Amino acid sequence: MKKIYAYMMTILALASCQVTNPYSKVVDANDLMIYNHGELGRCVTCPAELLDVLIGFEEYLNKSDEDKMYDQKYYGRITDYGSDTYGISAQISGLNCTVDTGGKSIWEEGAEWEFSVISYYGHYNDSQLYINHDIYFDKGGVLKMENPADSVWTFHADNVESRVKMIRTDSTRVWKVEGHCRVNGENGLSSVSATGAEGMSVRKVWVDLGTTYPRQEISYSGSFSTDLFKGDEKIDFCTMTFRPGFAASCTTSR
Amino acid sequence: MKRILLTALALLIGAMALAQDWRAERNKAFKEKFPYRYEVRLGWSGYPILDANNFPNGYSGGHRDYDIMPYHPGSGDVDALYGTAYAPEYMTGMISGEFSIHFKRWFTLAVEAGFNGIWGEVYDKYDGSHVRTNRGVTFTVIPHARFYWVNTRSVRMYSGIGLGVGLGGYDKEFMVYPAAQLSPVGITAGRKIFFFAEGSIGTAYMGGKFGLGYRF
Repeated sequence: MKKIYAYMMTILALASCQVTNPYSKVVDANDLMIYNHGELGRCVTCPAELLDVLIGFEEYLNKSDEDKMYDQKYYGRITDYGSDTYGISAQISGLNCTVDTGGKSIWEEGAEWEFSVISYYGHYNDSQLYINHDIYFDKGGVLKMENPADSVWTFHADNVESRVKMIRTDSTRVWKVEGHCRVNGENGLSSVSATGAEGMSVRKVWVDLGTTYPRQEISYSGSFSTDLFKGDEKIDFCTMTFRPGFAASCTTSR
Repeated sequence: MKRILLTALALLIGAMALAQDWRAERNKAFKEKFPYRYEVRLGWSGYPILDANNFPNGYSGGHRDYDIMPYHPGSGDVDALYGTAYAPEYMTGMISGEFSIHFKRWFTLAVEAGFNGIWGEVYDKYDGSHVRTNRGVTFTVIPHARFYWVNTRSVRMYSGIGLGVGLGGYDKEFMVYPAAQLSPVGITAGRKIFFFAEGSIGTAYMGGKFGLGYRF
């Protein structure tokens, strides 16, 4: 009887059809790089992008009605909810948020701009990695002006804490960001991510590949690391070092 | 005019009577060479397209557990990074039994009941260790209407259509769904014991089915 059963199972196994490919594989270095870059998006890119958009937004608000109409970036993409609360469309730069300014300028000392929700869609591309960030802070966050003289703000949202300093240049804004964030998973998994000791520089650059329309990408300088834990045990890590115009160099545990 | 009509009517009735006799003769001749009222079949079918779409993971509708959702950069979902990985999943294809009643020389009604076995291994994405084996099965019942258009002593050919119901479960998922099969061409070869094969498209199997049968 056992023989018959074994024959039947063998025939079934041999004649059966495979209906799916393996959905995913064991975590590798590339997975860790993508995760690390995702966390970089949450605690570095998103706060810098937020400030970049909001400073432009405030400049737009201070314009006359006639001048507003000639502002191609912001006109028609701001919703005024009243009570100093505005909706900012993702069409401006991929960042969508609703912000309560509290009636204060973003440059005013002690100004706290509160967000009910923030989402950001952006992408990073070098010769090794192409990553689409899809960031969503569903509990919102707070942006606080810390030091007007040095143009320094802090950003807090969902276990993310960042300190963002604006460095003006002739052509575009450059941001110096020091940030760290934490993720607590459901099965004892967690991650802690942070910029290197000197922080990271972030700037937007226009990329024209010749084959598509020029598009805006983000250029980083500095390093960013993530440590991953199961309980108290460190199970993986990834450190990425960025140099403008070059592919990121990575050190991972895999 | 009346005479012409009466003649035409008489000719028509005569022709109908002759046709009936001819048909009766033909049926009688067929009964002699095919004296079977019932038949049973055991068959194995092609690709179980609907089950393959409904149950395994990796398909758009199949993401059931949070731990198999892919990680999206920036989601902060560490569970998705270290969830489970699904090795290829397999299906036996529908193995079915069938009971048929031959009502007419050209018409048969059949009821098919079959099962399709599903299994797949699940691994931990952290270290590739085996987590569990998922197993499941689906059952399908389909009544078929078959229309025979070649009836020789040993070979019969037919077309068929069937509508029924399927149900089954796999990896915490249970579903009930309609089943439909269209078989443009089928062939049986043999008499009391016969081999059959049919080309078929439908929800339970795609491609075809073959097997053995017994008539009595």
